[in-house]
Amino acid sequence: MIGFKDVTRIYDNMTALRKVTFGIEKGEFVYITGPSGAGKSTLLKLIYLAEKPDEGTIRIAGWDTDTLRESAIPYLRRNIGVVFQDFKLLANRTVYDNIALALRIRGFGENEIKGRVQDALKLVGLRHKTDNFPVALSGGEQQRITIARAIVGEPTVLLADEPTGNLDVDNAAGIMKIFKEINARGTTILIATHNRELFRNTGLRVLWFDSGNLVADEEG
Amino acid sequence: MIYSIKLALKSLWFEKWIHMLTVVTIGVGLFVLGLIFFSLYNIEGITSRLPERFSVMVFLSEGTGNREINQLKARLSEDPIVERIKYISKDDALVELRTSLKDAAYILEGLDENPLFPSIEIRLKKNSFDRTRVEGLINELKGLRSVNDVVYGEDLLGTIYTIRNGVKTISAGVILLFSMAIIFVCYSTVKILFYRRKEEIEIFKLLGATKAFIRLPFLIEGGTLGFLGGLLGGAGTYILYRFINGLVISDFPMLGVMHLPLGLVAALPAGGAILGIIGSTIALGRLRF
Repeated sequence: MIGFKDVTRIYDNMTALRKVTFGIEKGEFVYITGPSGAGKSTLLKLIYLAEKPDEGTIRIAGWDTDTLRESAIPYLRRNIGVVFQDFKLLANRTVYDNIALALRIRGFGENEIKGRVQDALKLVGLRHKTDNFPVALSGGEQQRITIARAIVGEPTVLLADEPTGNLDVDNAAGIMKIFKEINARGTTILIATHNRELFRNTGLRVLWFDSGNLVADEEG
Repeated sequence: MIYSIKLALKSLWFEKWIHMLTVVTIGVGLFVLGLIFFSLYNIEGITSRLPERFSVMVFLSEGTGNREINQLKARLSEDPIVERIKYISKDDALVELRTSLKDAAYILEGLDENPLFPSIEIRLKKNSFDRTRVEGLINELKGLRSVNDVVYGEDLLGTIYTIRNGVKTISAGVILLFSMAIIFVCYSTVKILFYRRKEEIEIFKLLGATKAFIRLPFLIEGGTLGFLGGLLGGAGTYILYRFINGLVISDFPMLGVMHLPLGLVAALPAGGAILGIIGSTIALGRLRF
């Protein structure tokens, strides 16, 4: 599903990722962890093509990012749902419109959009917030809306960058439960986090990064 | 497409002040363009009608016989650009002169003989006037032995045509300048809107929006601004046309009623929309993912 081979990413003179090689199978649930500046976010950005590697090759869902034409990038991104650390919700649109946007971009009709948005909101437990604006929601609720937007298009891969970073323990547990439900449906999930409690004793795969190097690939 | 139209309309409403300012600016520009086209259309019409008002006077040589005169009359009557001809004999010419002199006709009393030449007055057809053909006919007549001279308002017409061509050239420059100005106004507006929505566009890109999906609302917005500006400009042109028409009828009836072709009024919004889309396209430039 996702393959990194000798991938290096350098910002100015600082190496964010160095010769990173790993593979992730379809349906896996993988944590990416390490201290701040380890390269976790950079790795996710490379997967959703917000950045390009300076060296090495990346394969995602059968697409080779090296040879991928610029015009094909939007179509690859539709296979990847992203839960951003800063949510990236549109403040002037309702919850419904924020989630529906991901489907409108894909060209869905309004009837299908309505059904899918309601299903996604049900999954994250926020059906009653359909007409609210993001500013009227708590951090945890905004995070759930971001998840709903990321999964509404039924992507094959879901990326989450510090999804519980700003949440209390209860909210964080609720969010992780949602991720497990999504994974149970067959979606490959990668979660970047520095919070070891999230994956401790889960038995799930953890990729450990430090200063841009992949230092361990083990079970949590 | 429907969603893009909704986005564009939403933006037109939310940013109504900047849009109104843009529409008025484009409207003024297109009003000037409308005036230029209106002026050119009417100058063309007036100048093409002017020759109808000039008759060609063919003065015949002394001693030209009736046979030659009849031949010439027959030749002119058959010419496709000639409406009608009138032969004026020496005697008729004197009578006409005497009549036109009225009280001063006594100055002709001392003449021993009639000094005037017989002539043929030619009236040209109104709708088939062609300057080249008229000049061709005049040159042909001047070359005849039986023709002493041909008098036609050539110089005046020449001046009018020179002025008309000058106006055309200047107008072309002004049209180009104002078209560029309108494109620039649309470019600036869309550029500002694009920067204001930069964050939103970034989110669109990350969610998998294509370039067409991102661009379309801006193109619709630019086109709509141009179209509305065109409506404003068209309305201004029409109002001014009504005003000028009233003025021309009362003060310069010889110029006849001026015309504002309906096509021109309709072309202003269409032209505005095209210029708006061009400006928007340039403003959006190359989007990168």
